[in-house]
Amino acid sequence: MASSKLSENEKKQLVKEILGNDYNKIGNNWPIFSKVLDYSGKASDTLTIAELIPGLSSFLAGNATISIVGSTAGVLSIFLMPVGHLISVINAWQEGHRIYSYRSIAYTITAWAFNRPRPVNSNRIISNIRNSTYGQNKRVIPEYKDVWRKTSLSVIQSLDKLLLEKRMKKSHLQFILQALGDGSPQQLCMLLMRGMEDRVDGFAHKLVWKKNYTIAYPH
Amino acid sequence: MHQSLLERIFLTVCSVIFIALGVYLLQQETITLHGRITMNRYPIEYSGIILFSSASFTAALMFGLLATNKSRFKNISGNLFIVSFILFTIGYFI
Repeated sequence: MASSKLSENEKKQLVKEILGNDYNKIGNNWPIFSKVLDYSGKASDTLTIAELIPGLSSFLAGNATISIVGSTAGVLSIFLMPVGHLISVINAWQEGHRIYSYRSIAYTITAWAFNRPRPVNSNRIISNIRNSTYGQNKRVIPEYKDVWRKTSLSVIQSLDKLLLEKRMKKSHLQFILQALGDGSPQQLCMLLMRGMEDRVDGFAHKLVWKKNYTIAYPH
Repeated sequence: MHQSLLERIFLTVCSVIFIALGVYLLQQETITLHGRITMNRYPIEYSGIILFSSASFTAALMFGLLATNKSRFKNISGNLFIVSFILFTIGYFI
């Protein structure tokens, strides 16, 4: 298999690609249905706002197609609203799982880059969850461990796929990742975790995510 | 089509905002849209971004034409709105 040298831009692109992969569907339930539902909401809003634009309102009022599209989107969004909110509640409930899966992504990539065994969980985070009121429920810890395992395996699969797509040697990508962390697993893991900061939704969750930067790889 | 000065200023500002939005979008490699209803995330690839950006420029042109306050541009503006809407829809779903 032929391998090629990568430029700085390509290296950055590579890291973006690695982090950009959709490793799990946690907190993103029923994606196709949700997409249609969110679109109907957006379409309804857009057409409502468009009717307020001076000079455009009379055109839109007289256009049958726009009226039909607008009415359909409006009616659809009203009927589907309860389902949408149900999905929203489930997504919010899974936000903790999602944050934990981000840590799993960072740990797994780091372990893979430094040829270390795949981490099975973050002991400190699991210990923190166990000591909380939320963690008293017996189902909680196995759920978090399952999220970690699934995400971690997905990361490994994606990295292997990436190597095939880019026609790269494993050692080459490992070297790039090691160089990004200046040869330190902790630094690489921190870099990856900071790279995922934007994906954490909500002020409270972001605060928790940033606060947990003190828990370094592999703890 | 009689518009007050305030309305024309508003339309011009909208036009500038949409041009800026189009330029900003062109500089992005990927963007993530957040669903307002379900709070799901929808990553948009570059092809989608190009369409979003085109939709934004089309909307900017529409606002620009509306700001000229010429009745002969009325239908063109309306059609541009539809084009912009269609571009956004395609960009959202591909």
